[in-house]
Amino acid sequence: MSRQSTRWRATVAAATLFAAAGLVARSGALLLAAIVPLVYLAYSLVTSGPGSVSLSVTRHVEPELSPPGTPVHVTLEVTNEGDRPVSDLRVVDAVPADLAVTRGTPRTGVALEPGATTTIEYVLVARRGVHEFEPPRVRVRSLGGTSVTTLRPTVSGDTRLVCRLDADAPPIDDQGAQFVGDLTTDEPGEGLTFHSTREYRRGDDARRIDWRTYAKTGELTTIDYERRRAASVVLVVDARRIGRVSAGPGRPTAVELSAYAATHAVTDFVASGHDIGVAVIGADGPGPAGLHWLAPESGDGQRSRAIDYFRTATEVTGGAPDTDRQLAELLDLVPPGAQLALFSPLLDDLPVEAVQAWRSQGYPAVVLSPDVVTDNTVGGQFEQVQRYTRLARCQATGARATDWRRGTPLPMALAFAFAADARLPSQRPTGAGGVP
Amino acid sequence: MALFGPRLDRPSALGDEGRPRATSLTIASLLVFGLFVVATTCPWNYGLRFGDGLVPSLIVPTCARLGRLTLAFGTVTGLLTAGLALLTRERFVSLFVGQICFLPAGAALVAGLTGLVVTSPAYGIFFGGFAVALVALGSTWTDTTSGSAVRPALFQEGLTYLSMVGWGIVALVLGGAALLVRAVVGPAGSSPGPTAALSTFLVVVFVGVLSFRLGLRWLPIRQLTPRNRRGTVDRRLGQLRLATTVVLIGTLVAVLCVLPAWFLGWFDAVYALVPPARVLFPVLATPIPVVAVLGVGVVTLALGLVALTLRRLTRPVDTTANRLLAPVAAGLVLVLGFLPFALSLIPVPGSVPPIVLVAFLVLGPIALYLLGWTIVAAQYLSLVPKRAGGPALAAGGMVLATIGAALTGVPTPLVVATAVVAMVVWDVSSFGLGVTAELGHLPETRRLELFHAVVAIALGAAAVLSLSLLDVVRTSLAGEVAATVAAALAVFGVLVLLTPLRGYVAGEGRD
Repeated sequence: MSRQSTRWRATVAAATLFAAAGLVARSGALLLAAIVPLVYLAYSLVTSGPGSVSLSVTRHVEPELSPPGTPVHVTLEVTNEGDRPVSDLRVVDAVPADLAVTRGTPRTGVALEPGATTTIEYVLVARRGVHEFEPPRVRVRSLGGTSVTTLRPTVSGDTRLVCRLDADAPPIDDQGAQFVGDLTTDEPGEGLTFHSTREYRRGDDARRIDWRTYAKTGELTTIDYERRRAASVVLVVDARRIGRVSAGPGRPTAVELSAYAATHAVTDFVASGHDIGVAVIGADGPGPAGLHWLAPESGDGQRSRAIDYFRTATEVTGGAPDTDRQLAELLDLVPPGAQLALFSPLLDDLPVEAVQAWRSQGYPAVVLSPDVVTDNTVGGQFEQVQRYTRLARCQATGARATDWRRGTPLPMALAFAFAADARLPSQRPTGAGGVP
Repeated sequence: MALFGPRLDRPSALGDEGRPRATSLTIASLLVFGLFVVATTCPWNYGLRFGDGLVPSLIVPTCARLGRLTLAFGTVTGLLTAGLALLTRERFVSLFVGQICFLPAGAALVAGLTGLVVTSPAYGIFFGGFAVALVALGSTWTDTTSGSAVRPALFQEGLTYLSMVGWGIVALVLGGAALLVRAVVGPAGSSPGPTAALSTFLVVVFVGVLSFRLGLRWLPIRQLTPRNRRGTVDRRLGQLRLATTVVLIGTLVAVLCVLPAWFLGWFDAVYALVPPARVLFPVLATPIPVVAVLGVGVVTLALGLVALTLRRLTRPVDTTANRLLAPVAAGLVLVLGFLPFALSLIPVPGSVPPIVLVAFLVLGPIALYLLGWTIVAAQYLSLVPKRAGGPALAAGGMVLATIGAALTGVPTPLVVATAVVAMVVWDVSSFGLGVTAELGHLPETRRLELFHAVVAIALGAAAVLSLSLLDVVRTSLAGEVAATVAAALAVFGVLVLLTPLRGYVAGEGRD
């Protein structure tokens, strides 16, 4: 598609003015000066067509499969395959509408010689979904800049970005643990860390007999290790409407980040042999009180079901179920001894009240809060202060509250949130049940 | 960080769509300024002589050579542009400095150019064209060519002018009063009459106590007092306010009583009854009591004003209040500081009465105000493009300068070069504006802009060369009249040749 620019229309007026003034003043210099605008007008008209332009366009998306919130590097290379230089080439890559450019720019303007290549590099923030890249908009202008031709060239290379919650979660088979569970307990039994010795009993494994003591004293003793057990962990994702906000246009919402963190956590826990339960609050589900509920189990099938629920949590748009009822129902559903892990941006007091209720019932609790609050405005700073206060209130109940700041790698935040001491029975209030 | 005063550039304004790309604008600015330097310092002095007319001395009073004109002209247009940029801000200091720059420079430029157009039209058009181009380019750099940026500046300029008039009247009244007091008090050694001395003293007491009372109101005495003593200080301040109020009312009543009594001659009876009064009253109007009473009041008032100003400057930004207060403050500074300085610099030619110069200074801001609103109206009526207003005005200014250059008798190559610069300014500026609008301000497009500018300048250089040769042929082979007719025919011929091309392009555009 071609069109003409009208920016040289005024030259006719300038030439007329020069000519009129020259005639009135009888100035030959002015009459000659009247030719100057006409020269530029003629130049722009003669060089009106950019001619045939041959361009090749290649796009690279790295990584093509990524989890929400991670930076994605996009490179677009445009090469002049023709034998004539392109005096004015302007390229605007078609960034998917749901994504935002955080670094660099998807636009450029160059003069391109035959065989030369110009490269555009920019960084996007991934959001869940499949994002198709349309062909870039390429505009070629004539030498005088008057004629404009718009092209939509075919793009080779990557044409889409896939963003999944479990994009960077490793397969379970790669991370199987030798022992069942990953939690150490105060009870003696099988494990890796020395706990104590005791008298030999019939049936004890011969590998646990302390032969050195036997050589010294002639008595059989058995070595006990700190026993390792599997835990029941219920991952609670806050998918309420209040969490469907992001830190900026094109960035993942708090619910997406919560679901991503829960996906990562469920993969780690299943790989370690723990029983995993899932509850999604704020979305109208098939379970009791409208919950999306999975009772604690282990195994790959449980992981797949959990990820399906997390995906559903990010896709829910309507419906405002009674979250108070859902939270009350959750307390009935959680088995004794389980620990609760809440993934919530803490944008209101409801999650804090839920954690207080859980702790009062004796359940160990972990809170991982993705940070989607911007602090470059007074309102944002006020909201951030309130959020910090809620984190502190969660911490005060005895739960481990972790602030997942933007830019902090998720594995680091998860490692801190689910650090070993957070899962030990000492975290529980006196006299309450929980993880053994 | 600025070394002194507010910054002229605003990062948020740089690269906005209202301004062409920096590379294009740099090329346009260099071309205009370079041509101006060449045109005003060229070795072929084409006849602009200072001292012959009134207006050149108004523009640059101390200029004796054309080279200095470049510097002075650039300074005035630069100050005007800087002032316009600062007047779009919100802080008091920016608005104040903006008025100090904008109004004097703009008024002097407009008044000077108006005078130049009247006395020497060719030079007026020539310098007027360059002035328009330079100011347009400057304001394009600062992204202040739109009507929305010019309107508040003009509003504040109007306020400043009114403020200047008001402060001027106040200064005249105060000066008159001071002269009156001085005349009454008289030089050392002379003594006024006792009744006149008493009246003067009462007036002095009234003014001094009034000043003291106002200064006391604005001084942060209570705020600087330790908290445990504030009660006592509050009580004493209350007593002081009561006392000064009583004194003020008392002196006012006394003055109102003394003056009729003086005119009715009742004081003779008083002096007859109390003879020492005839000796005592003249002492009251001697310099020592007058300076003591006035001094306390004026010093307190000055300190209070300083405290008030500091409070005002450190207060959070209140745009509306700042836009009202800054012109008032700027008007005072201009009246007290700038006008006497400017008046002292103007050499008055023998044949010109000083009232004409004063009229120029008084009417200059009004002319600037009218000119500004004309530009705003032109934008409103779409006579000047809204987004490309700066480049359009710059190119229009260079078109005017071309006509002026031809009328002043500048050599033909320079006239043609001026026309070429007008075209290149429009070309590269509108091209840069299009790049900004299409690609934003992030992509690196310097190479693209430079390539386009080089082609445009090369075309212009070829045009200057060929048209200069044509001019040589024209003037050598034919007489003046015949040569002019030939040139007119040449222009007509080019227009005729362009007609079919236009049809060809229209056909291309429909594809």
